[in-house]
Amino acid sequence: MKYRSLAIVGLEKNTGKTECLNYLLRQIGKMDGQFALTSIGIDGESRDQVCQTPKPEIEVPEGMIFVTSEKHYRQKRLIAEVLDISERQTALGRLVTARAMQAGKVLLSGPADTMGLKMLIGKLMTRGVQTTLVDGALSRLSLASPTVTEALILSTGAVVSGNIPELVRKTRYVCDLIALEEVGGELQGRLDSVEKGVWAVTGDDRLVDLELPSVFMLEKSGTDLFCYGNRLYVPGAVSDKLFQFLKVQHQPVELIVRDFTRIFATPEVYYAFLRKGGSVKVVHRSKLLALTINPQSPNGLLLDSDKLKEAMEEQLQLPVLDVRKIGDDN
Amino acid sequence: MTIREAIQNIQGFRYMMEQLNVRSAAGRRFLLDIVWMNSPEEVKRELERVVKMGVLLQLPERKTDIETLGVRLMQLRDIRGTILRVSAGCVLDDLELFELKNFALLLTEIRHIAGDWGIVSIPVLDPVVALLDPEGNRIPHFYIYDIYSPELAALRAEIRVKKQQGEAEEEIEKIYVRSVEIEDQVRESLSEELHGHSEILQQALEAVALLDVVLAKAEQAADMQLVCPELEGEEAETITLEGLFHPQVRMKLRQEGKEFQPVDLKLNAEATVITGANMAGKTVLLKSVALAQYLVQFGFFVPASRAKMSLLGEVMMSIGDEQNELSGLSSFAAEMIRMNEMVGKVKDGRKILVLIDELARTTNPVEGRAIVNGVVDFLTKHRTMAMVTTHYNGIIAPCRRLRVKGFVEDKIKGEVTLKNINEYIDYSLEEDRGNEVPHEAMRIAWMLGVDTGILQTAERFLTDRQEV
Repeated sequence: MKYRSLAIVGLEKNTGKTECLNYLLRQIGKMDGQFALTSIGIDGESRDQVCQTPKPEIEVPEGMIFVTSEKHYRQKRLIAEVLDISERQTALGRLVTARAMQAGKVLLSGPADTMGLKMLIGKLMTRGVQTTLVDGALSRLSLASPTVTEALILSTGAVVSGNIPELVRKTRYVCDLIALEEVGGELQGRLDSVEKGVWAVTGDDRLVDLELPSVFMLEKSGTDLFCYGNRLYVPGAVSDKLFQFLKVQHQPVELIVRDFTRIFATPEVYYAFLRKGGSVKVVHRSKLLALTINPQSPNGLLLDSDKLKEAMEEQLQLPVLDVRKIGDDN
Repeated sequence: MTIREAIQNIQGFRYMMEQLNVRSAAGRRFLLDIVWMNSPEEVKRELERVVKMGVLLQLPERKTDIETLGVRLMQLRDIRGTILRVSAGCVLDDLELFELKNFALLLTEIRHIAGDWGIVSIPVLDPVVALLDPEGNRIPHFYIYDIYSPELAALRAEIRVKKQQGEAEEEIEKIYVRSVEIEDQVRESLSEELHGHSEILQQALEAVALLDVVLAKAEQAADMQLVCPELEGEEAETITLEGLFHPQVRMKLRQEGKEFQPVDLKLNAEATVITGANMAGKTVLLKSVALAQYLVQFGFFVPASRAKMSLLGEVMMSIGDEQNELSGLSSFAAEMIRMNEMVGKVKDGRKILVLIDELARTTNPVEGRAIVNGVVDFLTKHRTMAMVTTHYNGIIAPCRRLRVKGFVEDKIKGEVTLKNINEYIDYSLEEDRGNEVPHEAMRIAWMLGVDTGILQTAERFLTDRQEV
């Protein structure tokens, strides 16, 4: 596998992310090289506790390194060798790095923020790990962004929409966001170190703080946001409101966001912004490798897998796999 | 008092502790728990460690060792909680066993480096290593190894075979449950054996924490040019400080491109009244003395070029800008309550150092002067080592008098401005025979550029009064 890190993210819950991950793990189990597995935060976990549905356990193949919290490590159902315990605490205790001595099941939890995940992936590489798989969450509740990884696999399914065109449209929107162009050169590093506020980016790539506490204050501020040019950098969350505001400016605006997970706008508003000549770039981008679909939703709805797959492939030009089928092949 | 409490009292002391490059969490905890020492032997022992480490830091052939030691100390975890569980005889889990193994291996390595330095004696943990590293890999990983139990090894092999043969989950589950039971038995017996070593584990953790602190102290002493204080005998009550400075103030001055002028000072068991113009550094002087005394009591080198010091029971300070304004008392009331507390301690026969900055300055000069006389008289009569700064003249109570030389217009060439005014001040102390205070307040106010109208009026009042 040529990527050093790969995140598997679900568009929503029950899109078959875990099946996809287990499938990948089985494939990797047959490959040479050292692989590692972790997760982003505990976001999914807590919601599962609310629903009282158990979080699906991951089957770790023999020899694989995995990282999970102390709490989940103690509940593991496999033989594993402890390699390291982090000094940093997460909500579920310190993070334990271990190697599976025999295949078995474990609950995954991991660093709760992007920086922690980045450092963890770096540390695993020094242990000779070739690729780290990240069980990712796409949620505004998660502080960590899966775009820290080089590559992504996106899971989608009937739970997102019971109507195939609608499901394709929604998925396509997220794929479009993932594919947003990355800011290059020195500017990337400069943007990366900024984590809040609203900034103007000048013609010669300098950053000027517009001294707005948040994007929600845009309209109320009397200052001319575009006196330094038409590029704006917003590292925090970006909503419909911002796009609507930017759309009505005299000149087309280039908006730079941290990564695609920071965009919380609805597709309609986002595309309207683009049609008006606006453009969006990201500081961090991951390559989208493939899409998995789950034609079944938890409320019993079952879509036609072949039709769905066909529609997705045609629209998105990506490999599409049905998780229920890949689940059976072993 | 511990360092944890002491850093609340003195800003300059907190600064020094924050600047210490203690590498491990265990070392940081150890540092904060160091207790104010009263016996010269105890302090001497701690100072000697720092002296020895300082010598090693100078040796080029030790450079690699010191660097490796630094890295190993950084890797050290504070496993006090785990060691407490060992002592309590708890059954440890894999994570705790991992921590202990990691610690024992690291400590063995540290012992290999620093064991023969004669600074800290580091216990041998070979039996712990042997227990937790049964395969002798010397790699800090841990799990319940097959080698601990032939039965466990057999069960694990069986699980592997059955999985490959595709046996039913329930079958494998049964064997797995059995293997987990045996793992638990192994953990139990390991914990029991470790329990026998709990004392030595405890000692080992404290030893490396101490080593970490000593290394940081010696590095700081070299960095800040601190000196090892000589200690007076148990009964003595004198402090001799040559080239005394305040590291935090010095650092701030250096940032502005200025130098701190060190001061020589000798204190005996009597009240010393210090006079001097405003801006003459009287407050910083008191703070520097307090800092030096705190440092020696906790076994640190002191910021001076030479120091000979007595150990004391306590330093009582009354320095305006460090009081708690939230107590609801007026500054005068708070000061008087502090004075009374000090008097009580002196009467109890406690060996203390009293440092009072501008006593009774917030009240009228007539009564203020009387209060200063009263306090100075009390301190001298009780042979209490004390420094009292004041702007009041007419301090006639028996005491020793020192005066900051203060403003010297021809100290350097050029015009005096607000920016360079510090350079015109000679901060050294001289014996003062009379009881007059320097009259430099007006001059300094002029230089600071205070409104001309006001100053002219003030001068008129001054001459009028002198004529009267």
